[in-house]
Amino acid sequence: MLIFYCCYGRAHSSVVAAALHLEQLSVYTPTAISKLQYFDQATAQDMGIPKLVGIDTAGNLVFVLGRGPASILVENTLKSVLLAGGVEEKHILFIDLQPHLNFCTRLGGFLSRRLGFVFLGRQLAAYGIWCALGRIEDCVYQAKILVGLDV
Amino acid sequence: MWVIYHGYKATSAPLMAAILHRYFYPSIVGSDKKEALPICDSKECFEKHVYHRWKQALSDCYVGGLTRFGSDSYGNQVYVLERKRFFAILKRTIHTAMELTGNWEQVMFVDTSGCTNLSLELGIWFRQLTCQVLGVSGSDKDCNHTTWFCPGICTLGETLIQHGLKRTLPRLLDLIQGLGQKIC
Repeated sequence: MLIFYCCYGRAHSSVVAAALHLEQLSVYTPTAISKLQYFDQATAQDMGIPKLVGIDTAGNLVFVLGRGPASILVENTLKSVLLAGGVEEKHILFIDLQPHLNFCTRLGGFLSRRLGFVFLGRQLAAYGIWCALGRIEDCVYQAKILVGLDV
Repeated sequence: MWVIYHGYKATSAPLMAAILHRYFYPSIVGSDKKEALPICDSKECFEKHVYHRWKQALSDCYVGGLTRFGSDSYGNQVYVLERKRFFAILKRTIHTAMELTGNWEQVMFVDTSGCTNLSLELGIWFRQLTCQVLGVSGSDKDCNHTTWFCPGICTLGETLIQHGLKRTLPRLLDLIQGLGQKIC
């Protein structure tokens, strides 16, 4: 199964959700979040490109996807190409994390990715994600139930 | 090869270009004069070959993004892409997803935004508005139910669409002719 954790820029919430899914986040602190491999790394050129970040215990491929402003269009286009490539619809799952973003994460992401104030922006985004970690965990929990993983 | 016709909205020029490509590509590329094509002969031919096919395609379950529109006589896959202002993002998505599925076919993106016109866009907008206001899906069958309710808007929409399609036809034929032997 292909699981896509989607957010705006593929830099923050989707990366943390994928890390939670793959059980790569051992300590729930802003510092641990900011040290994740793909956290706050993506650029505008990465929007629309699904990035494989790992394979879970059930063999599902876990991707992070930044949809930018073209949210539904990217999802539909990706799904169409995958279906044309022989992937069954029931094996594609999109998890949208954008509703769970808070002001801190958005501001941190903007400062780091858009304005280039990386240190300040990254810390702020990590703090914002840490604040919203409960909701992101719920999302991952729901996704794991959908794909039939033991949680 | 994948031939992807794209535009701001998929239902206007890209869909029309896909219809022309799928059903008439050999005759379009083969003929020097556009007037020789049966679709340009008369109003009846235009309605039979183009307008009804366009309406039929519109009534299929269309959700935005990339939609497959079948294969042409050379075996090329014809697609329609609604891209809004995000062509760069969607292009990357298509290429990456193709790599992901091990599909190494060539992709040709054909921009149809220069072929559309105000009549066509306005007609489609009227048609969609009528369907939305009445809470129907926008399919051809549903839209027929609306004609007794608001005949003026529906008729205006249909007239504008037909007028717009006729005006856009020569431009699209030029565009498809310009693809030449590249995709044969």
